Amino acid sequence: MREALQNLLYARYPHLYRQKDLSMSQTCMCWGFACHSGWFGIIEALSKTIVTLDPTVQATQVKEKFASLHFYYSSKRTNAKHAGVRAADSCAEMMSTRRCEVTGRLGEVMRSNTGWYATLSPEEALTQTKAEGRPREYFRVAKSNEDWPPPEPDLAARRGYSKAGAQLVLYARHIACLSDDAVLDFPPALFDLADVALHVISCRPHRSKPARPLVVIKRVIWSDTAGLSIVIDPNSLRPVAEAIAAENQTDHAALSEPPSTDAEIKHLKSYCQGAQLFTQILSSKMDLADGRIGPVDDDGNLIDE
Amino acid sequence: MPDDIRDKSKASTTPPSSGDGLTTAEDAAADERYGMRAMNICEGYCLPSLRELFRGVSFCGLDMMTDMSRVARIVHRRYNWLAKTDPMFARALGWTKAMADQPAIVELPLLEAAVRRVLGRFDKISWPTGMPHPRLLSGLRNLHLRIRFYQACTRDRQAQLEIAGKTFELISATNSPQENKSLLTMSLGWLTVESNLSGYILGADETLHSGLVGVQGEMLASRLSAALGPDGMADLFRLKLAGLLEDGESAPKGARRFQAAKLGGGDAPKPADSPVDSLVTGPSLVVFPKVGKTDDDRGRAAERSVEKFVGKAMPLAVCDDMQAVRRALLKDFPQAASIIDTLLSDVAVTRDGQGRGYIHFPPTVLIGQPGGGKSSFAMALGRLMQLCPLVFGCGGSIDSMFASTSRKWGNGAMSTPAMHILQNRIANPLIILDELEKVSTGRHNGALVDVLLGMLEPRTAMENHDQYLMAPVNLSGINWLATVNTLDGVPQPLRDRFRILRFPQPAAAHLPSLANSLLTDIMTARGYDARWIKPLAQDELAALAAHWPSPNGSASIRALKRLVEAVADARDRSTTPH
Repeated sequence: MREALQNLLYARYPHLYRQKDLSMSQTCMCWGFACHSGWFGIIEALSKTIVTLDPTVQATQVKEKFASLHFYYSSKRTNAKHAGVRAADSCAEMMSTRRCEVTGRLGEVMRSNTGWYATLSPEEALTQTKAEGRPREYFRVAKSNEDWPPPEPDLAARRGYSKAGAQLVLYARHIACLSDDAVLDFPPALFDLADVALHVISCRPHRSKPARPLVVIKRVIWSDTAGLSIVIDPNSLRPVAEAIAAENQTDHAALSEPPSTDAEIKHLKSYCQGAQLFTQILSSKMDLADGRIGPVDDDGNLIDE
Repeated sequence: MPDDIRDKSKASTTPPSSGDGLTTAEDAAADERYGMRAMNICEGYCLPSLRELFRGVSFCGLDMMTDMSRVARIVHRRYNWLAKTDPMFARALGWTKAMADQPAIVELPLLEAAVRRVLGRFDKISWPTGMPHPRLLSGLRNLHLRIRFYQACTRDRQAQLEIAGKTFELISATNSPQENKSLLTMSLGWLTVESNLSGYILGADETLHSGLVGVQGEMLASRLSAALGPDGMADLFRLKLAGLLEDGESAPKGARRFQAAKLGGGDAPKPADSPVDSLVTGPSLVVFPKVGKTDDDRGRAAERSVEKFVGKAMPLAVCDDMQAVRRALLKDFPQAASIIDTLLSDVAVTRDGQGRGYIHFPPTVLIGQPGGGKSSFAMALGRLMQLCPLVFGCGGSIDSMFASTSRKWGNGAMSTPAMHILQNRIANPLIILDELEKVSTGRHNGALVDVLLGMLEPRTAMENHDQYLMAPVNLSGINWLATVNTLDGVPQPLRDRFRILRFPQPAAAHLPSLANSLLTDIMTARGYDARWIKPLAQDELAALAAHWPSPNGSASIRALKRLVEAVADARDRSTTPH
């Protein structure tokens, strides 16, 4: 990341990044942000969310790994307390696979012929391929072999969505977690963010786990003052919490006191709040015309290149 | 709870501001300290002050219940003595005790109502030892505001709007830009939080935290900034600061320097760097900006004596109900209506840099015949306005001990006015120089009149060098009243600094009210309850009128008091014991 942007993050969130001056034997933050500047907006929104939810968190490493943003941190809070932080981290990680690491424009995961994965926009992939010093390296779109989560719509489709088209695709992809009377009203440029947020908030079980109820979402709406808001049906939390509590009892039978349903509900609320907050903050940093989160100048403001 | 509400991010060790840009080195240091305190508060090591809560710092240990419990414990310990004075206070303290033991959101409205009633009661209650101390009042007001803040966090819409307004009020040209920014975003956040967070699942038992509110404010602020153009937010500040600036077109960047220059040349005392300290929304003044350090016992003793106040804002007393003060003074001093109106009209137009009123009038001499009631009037004025009056008898004063004595002497001490401020913890007490013309004119050990010259001139009083503290002390907030019988003994330089008002002699028409007032004082001093004292009857008044004013025209209050004492004695004798 550009040094100016890196220093900007250090200055804005001094306590989150307080390990930056420690030695390499104590922390990995000494290497700074090991990714390109295109993810500055995502990292900033994540930092803001974390500081808001739990000011005691300290980042230990921020880097690109397997084409996505990996944000490692330590916290003194209990697991339940920083559920929101984990949700925001998941959102940031998923969102980073949708935005070019170099330019911040719409991108997708690509794989080079040498086996290196990166999230790039097609234009940037072409630039990288033509870059001097690496004549034989070129990037192609990586194919996902996983059944779930469903592969995201390809980049060409995402670029061309109309408002109604974006809402329709979102509805189709998340029909299981949207209520019957769900209201979707957001600019098409925010499709990726809404898609990621719904995926995280609905608490889909890992594909290795049996199916269970999902958190139900009632509205996905955008407004000038509140950004992208995701409204959750509060009544849907209890069935999810009960199913998770039952899973925990099976998985952690040896534990003397597995978490109760009420504790799980609290945990879920905190988790959803983290994802909601991250969505709200990041939506305010996105360009509503083309959905880019960058490029930014040295003050972190969006610029037209 | 002064410890709780002190602005702890403004420490005494701030380096002098280096640049004249928007952000100074002082601001940066204060912001850094603020950040460190915010972390300590999150970790649960200390309680956030009210101002810090307004700026967006989270609750102690990130938990409102913990914060409430700790505050309630402090309040209960500090104000426990009040429970004995009035059942209403006892009830309110009962609630704080319950809150300290087991904090509960549902009890917040009850506690708020109890504290509100106590505050209302202060206006009506008759205090045996004068009016309640300003610190007590400010502590209770802050407690009330903090409870409202808790209520705002429990999604009480009315409280949220109230806190939004209070937060916006704190924005001022004297704050650092970072502080103003956080206050503005929090203010906007409180306005929009309820609609913005409608999608969040927050149960009745869950509380909002400041970070969430601040994010909502930032989003609105960024939208406002986009809508209003690049200078949009600056315009908002300009609107807010319009009251502070003579020139409404001045840019906010220069506001601080502009204001400093304006205040430096005017009569108004320089407001504090942290206007909110013990009086969160009231005016304040830094009286002890620094203290000189010497590495010896005397130096350390001097530092210790003021360490709690160095660089800290001290409240300026305000007069909430001037009509009540006027009525009370007129009742006892009916002849002094013109003096009362002159002084109160000065107070009415006094404003600090942020347009907030506080009590200040120019140094004034009351000249009148002996026994005219000048000293009593001055003391009553100070007591009614809660100015903690100090009566300094100047008659026969032969030295300059009123000023400070150098630290290099074994018996060094700070000046009398500075000591009085320190003891009473308000920056604008009333100092009454009684019988000023009878001061000694010798200069062998220094002279009081020479010392007063520097303290009375507003410009020099702002930086009155205290030899004991080895640092300037801001005495510009002090209200000076002097009483003299004649101006003959008052040196010319001192006369120039005083406004001279002639204290009227009471006339025969004032006899009934004066005599009744004196009778009440006399009978109360003899142990009678004020409610059982019958006013003077017509025949008693007629007897008094025959002897007062005296045939030679003297209308001394002291003479009248002796006559009324005779009436009281007669009443005592005529009373048949059961």
